Amino acid sequence: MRITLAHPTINRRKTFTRKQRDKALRHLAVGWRITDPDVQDIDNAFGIAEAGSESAPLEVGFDGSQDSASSSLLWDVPSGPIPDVLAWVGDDPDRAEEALDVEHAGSARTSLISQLEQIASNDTPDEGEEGSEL
Amino acid sequence: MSRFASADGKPRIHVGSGPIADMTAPTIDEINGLDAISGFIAKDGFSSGETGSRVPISSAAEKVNLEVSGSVSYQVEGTFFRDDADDDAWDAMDTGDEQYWVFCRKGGSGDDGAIAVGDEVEVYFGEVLQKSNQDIAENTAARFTASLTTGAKPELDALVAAS
Repeated sequence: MRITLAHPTINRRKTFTRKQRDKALRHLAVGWRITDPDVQDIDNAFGIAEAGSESAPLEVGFDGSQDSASSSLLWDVPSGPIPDVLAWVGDDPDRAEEALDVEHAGSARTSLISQLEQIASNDTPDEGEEGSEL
Repeated sequence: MSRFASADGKPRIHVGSGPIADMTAPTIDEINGLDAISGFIAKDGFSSGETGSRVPISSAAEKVNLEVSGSVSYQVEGTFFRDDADDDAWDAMDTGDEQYWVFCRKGGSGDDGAIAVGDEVEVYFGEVLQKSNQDIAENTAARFTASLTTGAKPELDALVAAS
């Protein structure tokens, strides 16, 4: 997930990933503004929910539950060797999405990205969804 | 968003004793309180020279040499034109002066590219180590080079704040 900020006076834009949240906040503090009119809050845009908060984050990957443990996982993507990242991701598509964001913003290791994309695309439908009848 | 030429009209530089309270967020007043010498900096006239050190950690029993990162050094240097009437850059610094150098690499958003609130700048602080006239040469504008020690960690992603 990325957020784009615009310079306060001229046509200059800059994109930030969730990992660059602090840098984005510093830009906002000196007058840069969020370009997406539907986004009111930077943490909301990054899908960062406080533990126990009632509002559901915008970020895809949350199922709307108020699980504080899920929120803490957003910052826990391990850095380091590919096997470490894959071990953390497991077969969780949400974790794969988070790890993809981090990897694209960082080393962009192609072999890891391709494996994460595969895991992220294996999102299974919710139990409540009805299958189509043949 | 696009790539930009590094020395074709964009860079701006201010130097002086300051103070700058927060190097990560220099205010526009603090920057304007420095000497603006953008019109004197040569097109190849600014180098921040960040250099990292490699620290070998492999033993003799290992064929592949692994390493970790060590210390980081900066060699901040500017080259400026002399002027036989308004020698502003030369007059803005003396060897031994403690100075802030505020460098706007992408150019400012103010009038004529001046630095303004919200602009991204680099802030360096140190002591003017040397101020050296370049050798005279035929068909060459007079220039001098000044180096700055690393008196504080440079802030390469500083943002100009309102005063």
